[in-house]
Amino acid sequence: MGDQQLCDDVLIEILLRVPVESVFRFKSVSKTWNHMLSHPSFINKYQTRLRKSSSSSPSPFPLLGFFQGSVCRRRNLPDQAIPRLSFLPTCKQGMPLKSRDFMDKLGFYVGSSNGLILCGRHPNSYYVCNPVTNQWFSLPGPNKELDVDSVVIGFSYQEFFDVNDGSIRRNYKVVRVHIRENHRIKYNTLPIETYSSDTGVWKESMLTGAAPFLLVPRWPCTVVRGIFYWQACKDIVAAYDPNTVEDQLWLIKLPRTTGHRFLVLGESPDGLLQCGMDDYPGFKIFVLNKKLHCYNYSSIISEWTAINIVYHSTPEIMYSREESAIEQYPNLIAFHPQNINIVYLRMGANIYWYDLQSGRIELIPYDGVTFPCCLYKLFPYFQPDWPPSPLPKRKFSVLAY
Amino acid sequence: MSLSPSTSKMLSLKSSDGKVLEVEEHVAVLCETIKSLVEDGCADSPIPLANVDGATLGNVMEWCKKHADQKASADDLEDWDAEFVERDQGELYHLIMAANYLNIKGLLDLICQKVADMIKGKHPEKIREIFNIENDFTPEQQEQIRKDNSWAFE
Repeated sequence: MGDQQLCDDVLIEILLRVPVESVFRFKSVSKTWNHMLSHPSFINKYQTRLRKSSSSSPSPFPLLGFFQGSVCRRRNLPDQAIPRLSFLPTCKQGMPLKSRDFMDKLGFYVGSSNGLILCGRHPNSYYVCNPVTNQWFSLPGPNKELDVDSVVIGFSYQEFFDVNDGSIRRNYKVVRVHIRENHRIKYNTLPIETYSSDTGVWKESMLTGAAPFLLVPRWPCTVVRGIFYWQACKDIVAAYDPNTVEDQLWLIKLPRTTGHRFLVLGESPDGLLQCGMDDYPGFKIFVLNKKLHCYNYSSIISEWTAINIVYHSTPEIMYSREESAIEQYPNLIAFHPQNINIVYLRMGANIYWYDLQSGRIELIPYDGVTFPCCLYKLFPYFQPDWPPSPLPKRKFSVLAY
Repeated sequence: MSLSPSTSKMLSLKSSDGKVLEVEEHVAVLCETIKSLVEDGCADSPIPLANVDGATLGNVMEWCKKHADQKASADDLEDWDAEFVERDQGELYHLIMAANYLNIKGLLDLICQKVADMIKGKHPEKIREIFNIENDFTPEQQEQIRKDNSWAFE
């Protein structure tokens, strides 16, 4: 500024107010700036400021687009036969993600959580990747050798804000479940291996549920605020919180509907598990009566309350259908992770967001080609306020120049 | 104590270049630094402000006066502030340093945001120019760091 230099406090105050892309640009200004902008205390301040200033009306992270991942991978199909991973940008900021080189390198889409994604090839090569910054980290191989078809993986990235000292703790976890081969025998236990970015290693453990159950192989695991949900046969969902010390599973019986091909899970503002399920001719939204942590592990949970029923014949949906594929009924894709009243729907090649409260539905234009929904699922990707690093804790340090 | 409740609560402030400004107390106390002097009973006139020149002090007090005005609506203040920050870099620099020294959170926020809006999206080269910073990277380091953050240049 002119011939003078600003003192560091003031400079930081200014840099806390530029968009995140500019922060990363300005790392190239000088060594001092690079050090200052990469320092954990700056990142903490940056995120804290954003969350404080938007606390009255939290502005949800912008949707950059949808990852398209195959869910039904046949054992004998060669890798090249089907596209493993593709991205459908829904806005300008999402466009560069479409041509990232990790798309070809890192295998299949496995999961996404708060800005990081997990890709890889079962049963043992996995990568944690930030698609925005194009950084990725290859996880060490898990300890257990498993057959491709007996693995289900879940991925969770969380940031914990410490209100006392304003610090932020970051952690991701990969939970790899072993579905035992013999499908005739049901177990009430589940062998898992967990990789934590805090420790950088895989750790084996055994989870126990209230009754025997059988997980559906190859079905993606849903993670909502750090809790992992796996779909099991007979309308059961098994839930695990790796942040607790107990190696226990909650078993949740899904509400009775005409089907749950498109089960979506989220969390209500009161912290209750919310689920959306297809129920011909429409879909229904339910919430659990109590917070999951208020239930004990010893019985199967089934206390659901229906809070919303959406019929395919509602005028908004009928109208949208007419202009697209008439034969298609809306499939649920996901809840908005920060606004549970928004649910993403797919009808044929069209993607919509639907507001459960107002009944408003809107087409989301995207760039690219959708594959059949029986083989591929869509996973919305939102840009967080600060791009998380895919490196585990011990590898994370301010890069020295 | 030179201040008594019956007098028309005026404070005199002395800038670094020796100019003295008479300001109503309720305006001046928007500066936390001055407020604590007043509260501690140390606000002997004139209060010396060694880090603020006369012209800048005038501008700062103009802002304080507007923001101490109870009748001003939020919309009104917003418009007024937008006009207030339309200044050249040199003036903004002096204002930001004064707001920091006098500890006026509202003014500091306003000008930091103004400068942030001015520099956002700019190339590092331009930033070095604005902030008078020397590029101390070697060409290899420069290339590496650009590569690591290439997404931010898309």
